[in-house]
Amino acid sequence: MLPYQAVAMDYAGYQRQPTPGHPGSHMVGSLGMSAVPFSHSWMVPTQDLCGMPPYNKMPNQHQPGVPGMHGQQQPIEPGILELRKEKSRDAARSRRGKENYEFYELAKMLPLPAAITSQLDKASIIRLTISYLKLRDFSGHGDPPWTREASSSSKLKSAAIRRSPAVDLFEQHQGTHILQSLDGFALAVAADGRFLYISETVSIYLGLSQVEMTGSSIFDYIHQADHSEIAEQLGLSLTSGSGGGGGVGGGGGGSGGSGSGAAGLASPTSGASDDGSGTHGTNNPDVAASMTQASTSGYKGYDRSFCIRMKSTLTKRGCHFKSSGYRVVLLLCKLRPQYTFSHTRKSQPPLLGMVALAIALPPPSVHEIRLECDMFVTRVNFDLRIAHCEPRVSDLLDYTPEDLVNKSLYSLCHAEDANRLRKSHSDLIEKGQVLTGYYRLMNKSGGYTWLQTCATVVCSTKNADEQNIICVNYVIRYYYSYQMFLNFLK
Amino acid sequence: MQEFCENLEDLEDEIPGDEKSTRTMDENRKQNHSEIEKRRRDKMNTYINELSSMIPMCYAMQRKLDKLTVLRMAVQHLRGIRGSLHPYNGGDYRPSFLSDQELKMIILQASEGFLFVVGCDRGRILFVSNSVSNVLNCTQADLLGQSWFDVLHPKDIVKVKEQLSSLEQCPRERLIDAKTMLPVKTDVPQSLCRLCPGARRSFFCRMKLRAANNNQIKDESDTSSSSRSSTKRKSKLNMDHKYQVIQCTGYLKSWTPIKDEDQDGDSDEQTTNLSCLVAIGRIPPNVLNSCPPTSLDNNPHIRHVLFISRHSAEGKFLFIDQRATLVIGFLPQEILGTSFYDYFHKEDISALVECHKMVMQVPENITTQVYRFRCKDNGYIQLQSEWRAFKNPWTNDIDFIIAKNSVFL
Repeated sequence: MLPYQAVAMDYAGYQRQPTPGHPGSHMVGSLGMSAVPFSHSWMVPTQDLCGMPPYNKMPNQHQPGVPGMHGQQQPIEPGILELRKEKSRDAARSRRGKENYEFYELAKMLPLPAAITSQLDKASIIRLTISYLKLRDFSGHGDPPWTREASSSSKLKSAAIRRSPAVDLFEQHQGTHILQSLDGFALAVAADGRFLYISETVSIYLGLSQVEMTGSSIFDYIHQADHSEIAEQLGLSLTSGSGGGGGVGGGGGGSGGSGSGAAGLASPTSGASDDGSGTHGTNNPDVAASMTQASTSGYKGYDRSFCIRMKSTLTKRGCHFKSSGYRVVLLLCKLRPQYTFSHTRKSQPPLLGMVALAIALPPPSVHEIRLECDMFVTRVNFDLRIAHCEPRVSDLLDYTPEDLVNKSLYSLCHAEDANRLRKSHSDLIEKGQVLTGYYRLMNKSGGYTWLQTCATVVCSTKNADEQNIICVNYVIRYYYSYQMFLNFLK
Repeated sequence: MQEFCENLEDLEDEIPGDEKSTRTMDENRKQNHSEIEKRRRDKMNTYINELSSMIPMCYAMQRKLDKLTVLRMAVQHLRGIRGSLHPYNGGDYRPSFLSDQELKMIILQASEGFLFVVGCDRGRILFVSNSVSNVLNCTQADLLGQSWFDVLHPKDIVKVKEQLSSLEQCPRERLIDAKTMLPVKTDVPQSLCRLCPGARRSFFCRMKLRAANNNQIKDESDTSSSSRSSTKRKSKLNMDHKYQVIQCTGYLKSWTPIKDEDQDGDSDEQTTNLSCLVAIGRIPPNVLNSCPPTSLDNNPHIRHVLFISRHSAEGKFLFIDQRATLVIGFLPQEILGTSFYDYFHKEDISALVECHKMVMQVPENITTQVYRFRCKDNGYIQLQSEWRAFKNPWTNDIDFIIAKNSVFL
């Protein structure tokens, strides 16, 4: 703000000479925002013009070279300039003081621990305030609206149920327990691709700070190569490369009135475009257009699940070339539409954003894999042919390791799952790690078993070219046998 | 001493160069600094504009407001919001962007989940969040105080007990080395780290689903209904219950119960430390739903995809879905290894050959015409198929053809 004002000051100084009568009009026109400090600083010189003489002694201190320059430019005594500068400096200082006071008042209102809010810089304070206000809208206006207070628990109380203190205790700290129980973190993203919320547990999995991420663009925290994928999954359009990022933000706020008018003409039926920003760019420089269902036509419904690489300060650098400095997370997303009152409306409601769980995959640098009783490990080639299989597979499936070795995973899985497995396979090649969806492995004796596999490309420490894919396979359940199917037929 | 002199010389040599570089660096820095400052100001102005567009008192004004006014109004606005919410009452209240209730909604919506707490010793459900009703169709009150083992699938009880046990060592869990796939021998007995509070847990189990609303089961898989009905017939005990696969992730917590007099008489282990499992139960993400729709889904004449088959490049059956038996009468083992051309009606073959050629050339789905397929009783059934060549993403070779076959009515 300060240099902006300084420029305007000079401008006013020059203008004052030719048109002493109407300097104010220039100032209001050029600097509508900071009316208060400006009128103040302008008032001072006019008063001082009358009482100039007392300051005449000041030029004596100046070097002789100065008056020449002085005469060329302005017929005013330099002392007045000095004084005016000082006055404006004071005014700016007092304005900044007032602003700072409001900033810290604002910070105190943020729903964050005081230890954090007292340390925030101004940009962060505003960023967090905006996110918080947006999050409230997101919570209250989405479909279904989230009630802030647990209404059903009060119902339960009235339902004559003896509640043990344990129940109350857990109910009270439910949020903490939820976050601690997850094998990842929770997040909410606005339609323009900025984080509305990210749980503080993100620091456990990625080493990043909640305060820093909230309100920032999700694309700042995602591997460059995965930007287009997440944009496609969420129905966002990205700004093309370097294309005018700065202009977008300024235009959005200024032309708010005309924008909503145009939108009204274009689509009188949609009462949805009242966000205004949706029509021209967004406040996120990375994103050209907000989330829409239409552009996600490849996907049905509101559910999305996909693996992406997120920045991580915890992943060892250089350990794996695909994800060095990044960690692969499985995002389980649910797009959140705006709540609409009329259910007869045919057009789809606009999207407010999405909520997601990010399941953090074990970092590839972990060399020891913990196995529960319903897991087995295989090593596969890059084309998904099984190269090695643990003997214990025969405890879990009706195969022996010899049955499986050299078979392609594609030939073993249910044909209906092959395409999803293929997507995971491409992710694995590209990102170095993947957690597959649930897929069916055909049993030797008919029927199938549901599996989930976490596959990781592991580099040899001695030779970087030597790579292996380690698959940790979770057996979800022995789904049904062929015999059961035959029984069913009879 | 000599060394010291050398160092001194080195230093002197470096000084002039340094001066030069610092001068240019200073200029650079100045320029950078002003650029950074400008960017910072722009960012701040954008933020202020955005903030003012979100505060009713600001956007009610016609003119553009200055920063200070926007800030003041923002403070006032927030004060209004916060005042109507829970006031900060100190103590153990943890201010957070989301209320617990909202957080619960995120978990519930992102993956149909609920929080529950189970005592490790007897498996009693000490707490379950009310969002369980969306997942298992039963209320919080139905489950509170119940034994978890009563709600579990009988076959999963042993597995789950293992997860709850913190005392005896679990011989089944082990560590292996990611590279060699050989077991890792650790000095610390694993039972020790398993028992300590905070130990992580992650496992799958099946939990009873109230039969009131069957939507969720249907969604899970088309084929599951057949298996379920057969299991149902087998065990009359579980006749009214279907099971939902739940993925549990959580941790063990050691918890000292609060002394209280009005506690029910049945809790007699008040004196000891209670350890419990705090976990989120989630329905595994239903990936089947997020598959892109196929063109056949939009055809009103087709009820649904009936069976899937997989063929070699020349058309041999490599895999056939068991549902096919219901339609064509052949058992999978009868049909595997034979070519699909053996079953096509003579008059349809030429058109299907064209489709077959096309599917080997283009990556898209190829929808065949409606054609006749010979069944086991030598009658013909009308089918329409969607073929797609399957390329291995690594080798880029066509591994096989996947066919979705629908009965055409």
